[in-house]
Amino acid sequence: MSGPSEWPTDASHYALIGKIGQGAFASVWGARTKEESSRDCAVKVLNLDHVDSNLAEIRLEVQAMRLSSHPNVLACHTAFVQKTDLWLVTQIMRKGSSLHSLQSARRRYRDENKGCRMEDHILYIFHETLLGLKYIHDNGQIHRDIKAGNILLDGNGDVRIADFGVSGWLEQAGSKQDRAKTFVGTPCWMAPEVMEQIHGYDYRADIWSLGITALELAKGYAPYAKYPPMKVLILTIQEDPPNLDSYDEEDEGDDALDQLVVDEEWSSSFRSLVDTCLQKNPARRPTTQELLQSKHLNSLNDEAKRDKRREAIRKEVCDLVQDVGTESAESNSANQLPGNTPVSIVLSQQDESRPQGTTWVFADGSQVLASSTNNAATVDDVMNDLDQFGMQTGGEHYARGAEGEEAIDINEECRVKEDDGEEDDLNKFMDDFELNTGGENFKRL
Amino acid sequence: MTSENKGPFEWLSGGLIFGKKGGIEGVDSCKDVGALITGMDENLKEICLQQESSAEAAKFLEARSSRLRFLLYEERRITSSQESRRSSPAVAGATVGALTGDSMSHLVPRLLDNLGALPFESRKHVASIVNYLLVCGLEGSDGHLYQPLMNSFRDYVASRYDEIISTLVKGHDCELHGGQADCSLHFGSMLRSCLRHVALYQQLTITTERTQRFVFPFLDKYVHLPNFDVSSDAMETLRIIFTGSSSSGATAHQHDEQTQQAMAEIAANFLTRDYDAIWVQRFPLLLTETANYMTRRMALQILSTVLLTRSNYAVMIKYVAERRNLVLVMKLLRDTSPHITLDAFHVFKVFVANPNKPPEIIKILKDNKEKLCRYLETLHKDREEADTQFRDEKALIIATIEGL
Repeated sequence: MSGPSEWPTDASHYALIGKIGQGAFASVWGARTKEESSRDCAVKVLNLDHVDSNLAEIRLEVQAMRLSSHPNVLACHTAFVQKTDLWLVTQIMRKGSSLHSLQSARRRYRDENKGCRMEDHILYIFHETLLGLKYIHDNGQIHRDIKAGNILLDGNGDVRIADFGVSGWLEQAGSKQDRAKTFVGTPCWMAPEVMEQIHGYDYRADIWSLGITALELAKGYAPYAKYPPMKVLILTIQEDPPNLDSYDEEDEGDDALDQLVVDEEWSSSFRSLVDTCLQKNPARRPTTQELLQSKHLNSLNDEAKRDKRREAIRKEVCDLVQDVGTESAESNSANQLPGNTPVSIVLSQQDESRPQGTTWVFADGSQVLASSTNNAATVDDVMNDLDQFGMQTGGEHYARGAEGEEAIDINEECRVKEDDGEEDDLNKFMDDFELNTGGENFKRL
Repeated sequence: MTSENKGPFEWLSGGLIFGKKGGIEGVDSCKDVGALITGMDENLKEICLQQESSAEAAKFLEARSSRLRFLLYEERRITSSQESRRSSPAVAGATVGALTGDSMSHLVPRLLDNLGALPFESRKHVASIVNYLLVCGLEGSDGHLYQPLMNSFRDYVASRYDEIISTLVKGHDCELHGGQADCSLHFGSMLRSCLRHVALYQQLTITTERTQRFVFPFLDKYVHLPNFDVSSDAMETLRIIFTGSSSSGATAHQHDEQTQQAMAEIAANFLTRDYDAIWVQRFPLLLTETANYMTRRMALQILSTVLLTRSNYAVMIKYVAERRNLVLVMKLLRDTSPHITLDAFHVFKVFVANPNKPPEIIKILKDNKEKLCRYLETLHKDREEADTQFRDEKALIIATIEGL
């Protein structure tokens, strides 16, 4: 939702300060506007050229954010395209992911040989997330990627759901689709019915993911996190739902650093809350509304109680965790600015269903994978070709250079065009051409 | 609250619109669609007066629109889960009846006109309700139950076409709504819902004057707006206007073939009739580097879809006979983005495959024969193995150029 003061829609008005995260084709930055009264924000820079080419999904992601206005959902200030990048400007959540925050705090307590109980904090995060999720569901959306990594904490204890990357719209353009049928999500957090792809799935898939998130926050890992994706799918479908005892934190990681959850005893209420969410039959899972009114969370619906919990998490967790996206948090960011990130791409070999015949409907485009091994031509070859090609198609440099026959050709054409009264067009083309594809273009390659 | 049993008038005079204690709760349990709609009308009047009472009225409008939306969707959810239920949907029926009836027929246009003045959530509710009424009969196993209601709402929109469509189109200009970008998105989605009906789609471009008023603002302004969400939404609307096809990728639905055919013909008709204004004066600007990357990519997809659709034969023949178009496409063919070069190839091939190439086209191709062939040879080479159609087409295009 755009406020009274518009956010700039040009990259030059933002200073990227420190990197918060780096994904395959996107990076997230702590940033501020270069205005008199500069404003802090986070910027997600997404290379559109590298993303799966379903542009519609990206459009819907940004729209989903734009149409959300809730204290527990990350708001989008603005979004714009810069060269081939999409810049998504959002609120900044200073402590980053809730898992990261909890683990950092646990580490601090362990290093200081202090005990720490996290259950109340986890319940608070769970409850806040639930409020945001209810808003998302009431808007006719499923988030589809609820996990601790997408639940962000701010320095004051505020909690917001981020990353609509895969949120599906059940109410797209007015007609509520019965069930979504796309296969998306992150395996460990995915509900069985999402994996099975038989009946489709609905809002309740997010409730499963929320249950897994509670386990993740409690144990530091999602169940089955150590297995490859395919195995996770099989285990989720075949095994009984995971719970607080079904997997042991010590088995999961070889890294001693990560063994942070030592002796916390979980209350029976917390255990039963997790079990309620993790029922394999989606019909038996509660809705967000039902969960909010359940005895496990009912007390948190009281504002004063909520404020107390927020204050507690601020003191016992947030204050112990370093801010993300600051200079100190990321020192070597200088040569990793989005524009400088070296990435090569080739079009995927994966065939996509296309209509036969002459009608080429290109609604979907093609997939792009990160790999440079299959490039048929070397950069030099291509540059050479482009150079030549530019000469041939009428680059002004070449035409004015009058060095070869091509140049003369172009001039001849100019004269021909004059007769047609299209001289202006041609000149404009020449100007545009220089402007757009002049030397720089080749150098950039 | 016992207000549900009373007529709308008594209910209103019970003090709800003035926000007496307990009013909002009454709305949240209200089942009287007529009362909700009349109440929204009263609230809207209050909001437009911009007096002290407006804030209170806005709250009620939000509650009422939310409730109406909930009732509509809830009814659908229940009917579709009960296969046996065959009766006409009561909530949807009452809603269409009230909104199109004499006393409230001004409400939808007025809500749209003042969308930016409504609370943030109400805008969503209003858009959601309008969208629902426009498409509820098009999908789902129980779609036939909703079809008569949907058609009657469609006819209502058709009867106030200029008024409603003008508002939807103009609404894309965020400045009209206090810079609220979300309004543009709502107007976009409602316009696209309208365009799913042949009758409403046809009216959009039926004369050059209409095209200028309803389509050109997209080409001239909206797709060039700096906000990504607004400009990409405008591109999506443009895609539907140009191709007559509302189904895209995952959201493809059973748009029956007859409808598809009719829409394609309507598209072909205005794309041919207004050829110069569209293809000479406006569309090229979406493909040059002054347009942003997303716009260029989507515009190129629209172009290739249009040119390769059979019903657009006349446009295609004219387009591929023009030198400047070939130059433009050849530039795109060597763009730095692989997506753009691939789509450009699928437009370029039409220039080459055209059996009646004009001399100036042949001249460019001939002059660049060697370089073109060499470049095409390497273009998306890695794609050939999996995409045999692409491989074959490329080979054919190269052979054709070589034979010139």
